[in-house]
Amino acid sequence: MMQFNAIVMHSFREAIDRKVFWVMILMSVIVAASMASVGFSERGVDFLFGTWTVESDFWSLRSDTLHERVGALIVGFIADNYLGKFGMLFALITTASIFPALMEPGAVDVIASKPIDRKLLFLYKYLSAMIFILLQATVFVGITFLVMGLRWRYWPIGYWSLVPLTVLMFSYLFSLCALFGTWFRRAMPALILTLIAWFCIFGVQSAHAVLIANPDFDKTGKWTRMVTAMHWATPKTQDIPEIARRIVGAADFVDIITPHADAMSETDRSDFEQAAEGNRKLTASIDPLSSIASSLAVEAFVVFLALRRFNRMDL
Amino acid sequence: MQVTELTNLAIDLIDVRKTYNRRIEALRGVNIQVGRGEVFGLLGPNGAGKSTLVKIMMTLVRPNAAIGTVLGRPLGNRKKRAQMGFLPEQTRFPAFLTGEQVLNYYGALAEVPRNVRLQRTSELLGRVGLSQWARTRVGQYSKGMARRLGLAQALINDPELLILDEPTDGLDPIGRREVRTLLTELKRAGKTIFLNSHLLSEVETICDRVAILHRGLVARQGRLSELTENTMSYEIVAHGNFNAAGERIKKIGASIDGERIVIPGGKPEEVNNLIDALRAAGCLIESVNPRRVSLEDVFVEIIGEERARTAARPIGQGGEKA
Ligand SMILES: Nc1ncnc2c1ncn2[C@@H]1O[C@H](COP(=O)(O)OP(=O)(O)O)[C@@H](O)[C@H]1O
Ligand SMILES: [Mg+2]
Repeated sequence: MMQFNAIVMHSFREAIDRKVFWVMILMSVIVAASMASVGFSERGVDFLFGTWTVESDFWSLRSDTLHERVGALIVGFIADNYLGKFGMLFALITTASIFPALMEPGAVDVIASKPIDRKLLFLYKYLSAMIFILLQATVFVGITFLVMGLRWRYWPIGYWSLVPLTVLMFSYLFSLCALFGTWFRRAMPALILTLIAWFCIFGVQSAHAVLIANPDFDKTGKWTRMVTAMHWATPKTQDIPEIARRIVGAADFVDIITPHADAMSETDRSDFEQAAEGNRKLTASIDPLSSIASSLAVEAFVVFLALRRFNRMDL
Repeated sequence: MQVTELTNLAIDLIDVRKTYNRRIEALRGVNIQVGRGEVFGLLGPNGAGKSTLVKIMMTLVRPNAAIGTVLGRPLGNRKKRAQMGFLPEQTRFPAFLTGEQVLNYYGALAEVPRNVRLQRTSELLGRVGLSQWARTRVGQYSKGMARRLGLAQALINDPELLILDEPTDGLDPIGRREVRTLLTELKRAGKTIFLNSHLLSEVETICDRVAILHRGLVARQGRLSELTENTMSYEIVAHGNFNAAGERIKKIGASIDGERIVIPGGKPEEVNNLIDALRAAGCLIESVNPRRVSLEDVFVEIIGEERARTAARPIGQGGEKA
């Protein structure tokens, strides 16, 4: 326990010593402030702290479904993009150096000569990356939760699920970063390879999504089988926003647009309905439990490889 | 009895082998024994495998083969590392921590209770002469200061066995002397010290026993006096004609260099006999001086011999003497 605390505290100090940590905090504050600049009244939406108001029945406190739709926007913007892409990228930049720094000649000689099991040393370092992201995510979710509550009278308790879900998503990617980091002992190659791997992971999930939403693209079913198999062995980062949406209890994006569909032209509407149908199929195909379980299994395997390498290597 | 023998040895390494990347044979069967309370010096030219050997003892490097014990436990025992202190050849401390924080961090990793480690931190910083710098970030330390901090770090758990890889590397002469004094104190406190060095004078002044490592094998091992006694010599300075004593000079293998006669070996009788012969021949003796050959001479000689031999046949095992 003493060793665990020391390593976590040390990793934390190491992180806050770097500028990118403060850049992340600053970005969180900026996002929260821009959310706070938007307000909802009986008349409609206020932008820039009320300097500009757009009248709307739909996007006003008069609407019963306002919060569901706001929730959908928030999940789409925050879970999918801000935390899910931008935040992940910055988190990886901040943490990619954890293992290479641990294994630097001169540094590792001192640490690994202490009475600590090498496997535990690895796992403690791994966990400290998680704890670091946990803190960042908590700060962000905490202040944006307050902004939504105080400004929009929207207090979605489920929004807090973004904290563990962000850590979960980060852990999928960080396992790869840890593997590359122990392999190359340098932060840059580890980061670049992780980003490439993430891109591939994203590609597999996108291909899978396209084939699920449009089954007639693949008449023989050969591609679907292949992509589905690959999808199983992929950490499913893209399922996280959908899981978050369900927990938050927000509306689906399609459902937000549906009421506006009447105003569309004939062809636009049929396109929209087709897309909406595909989207429903895709959403229905996501089972949070098996998505998380299979992703964690992949993560565990990657961590195992990194751990084995770390344990056997000459430091 | 085997058991008591084991417990009396702080380090007992048998046939330690390490090949890096399946190509570089860093250690080719090293045997080294170090008694408890002893100061042991491992000497050898750069690349001999000294660092590899201590890294194996600290479990930083995985050996290809090794039997043996450290502090009575099989090599690689985690718990025993709590009673060992290690100063690596190269240290890199987290630049954002102060000297004090560095010691506190490593102390925690060494499982030293918090109150003990706080007390020991200030004590050790004083001992290595860094008290003034306790609250300065390590990033601003000079190489010598970092080395001292490294030494303090190795002592944070008050270890029984101290393993130091080139401890005085990067220190100025004053720093070196301070380290020597510190090591002498530790020796007096009953600690076992194993140090690696390519600096012979260091080893000569503080070590009880030494081993000379060459290309992954122990070329010699023994007490300092044992290693240097065969190479003791006497030097006589005399005036006059040495020819009458020529017979005697030849017999004992002495050599003449102007007015100097150098008698190899450490036998006073031979020297006295030669003096008698010289006096009988009417020579005037000016001075007689024993000359202890330094470890450096032995080292250069051994390494030279080994180099000559390696080409012809495999090097003999450690511990044997020619
Ligand atoms: N991590 C490593 N990988 C490959 N070769 C190494 C490694 N460490 C040391 N060596 C090689 O092993 C030999 C012994 O090195 P070392 O133990 O550092 O010697 P010394 O400390 O006596 O100078 C050298 O030839 C060195 O190049
Ligand atoms: Mg060395």
